[in-house]
Amino acid sequence: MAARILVVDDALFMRMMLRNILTGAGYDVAGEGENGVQAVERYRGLRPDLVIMDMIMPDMGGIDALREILKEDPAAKVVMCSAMGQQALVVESIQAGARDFIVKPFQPAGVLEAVAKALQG
Amino acid sequence: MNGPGGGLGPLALDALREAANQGAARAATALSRMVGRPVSLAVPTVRLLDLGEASALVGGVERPAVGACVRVEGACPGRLLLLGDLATARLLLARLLGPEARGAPPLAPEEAPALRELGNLLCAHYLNALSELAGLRLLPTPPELAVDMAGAILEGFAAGGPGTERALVLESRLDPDGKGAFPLYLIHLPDPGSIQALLEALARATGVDPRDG
Repeated sequence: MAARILVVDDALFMRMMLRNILTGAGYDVAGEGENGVQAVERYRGLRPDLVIMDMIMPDMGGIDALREILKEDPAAKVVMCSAMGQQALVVESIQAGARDFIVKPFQPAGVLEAVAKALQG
Repeated sequence: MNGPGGGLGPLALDALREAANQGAARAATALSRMVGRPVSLAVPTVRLLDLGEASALVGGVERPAVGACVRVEGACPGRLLLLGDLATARLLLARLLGPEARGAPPLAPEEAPALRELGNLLCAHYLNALSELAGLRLLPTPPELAVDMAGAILEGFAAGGPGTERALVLESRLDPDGKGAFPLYLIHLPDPGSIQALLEALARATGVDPRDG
């Protein structure tokens, strides 16, 4: 069965781009969210195999949502993505429990590599 | 940018906002390295505006303002203007550079180059992000700095090349030290036909056609 993935980004354009990349590789995009609050709610309802989440979003940012999701499910697999490629943010994400970090603008191969690695881990 | 809404629907504006945010994130990284502390820069809104109305962004046509203008060369030519209210821009500089930036007229020797560099950074990183997302070559010319009334800066910008009256306005919020953000406006005025070329390139490069939404 195809792995089920939740995509969270405040830009509809980026969600559509990620959906195309993931479904084109055979993954099931189980749901989408546009902020951290929706990420936590949809994770709770969908229990996906993986979350791909933007860091900078309105209402609740990606790092806070990551922490909330891990509080509910310590085994949750979350890959963060952001154009903010500073080392400090990457380290903060990994320390908060993210499985990987993708820097925007991303290439499909980079996204699929991070997804495969996170799902295997 | 013809037709209702300049031919740009919500998905196209969303794609351009995302490119602007990616550019802003990199500009913030560059600024953070320059000043040695975290600097935050976000682009919360993108809208189409008649150029004649843009002076309202900084308080009206007679408001003292500062603008850094670059010409965009390459696959989608046009012009970019980073516009801010002068007093706000100088307060921003004072917080960015420290107390040596005075914030009182006339411009201190270090202020003009710093404002020009800020314009250069924001314009270049916006174009870089747009270029990478759309797979296009987009190059900025060196910025020209103007300190004048907002109406005069915008008139000069409009007269600087071909284009329509409708411009894309990217509202940016720059927080130099975590103590509150200052508004700056990046105004993108593509040459006729450029925006369609850009949207076509975005559709080809990303697999998502921004003209569909």
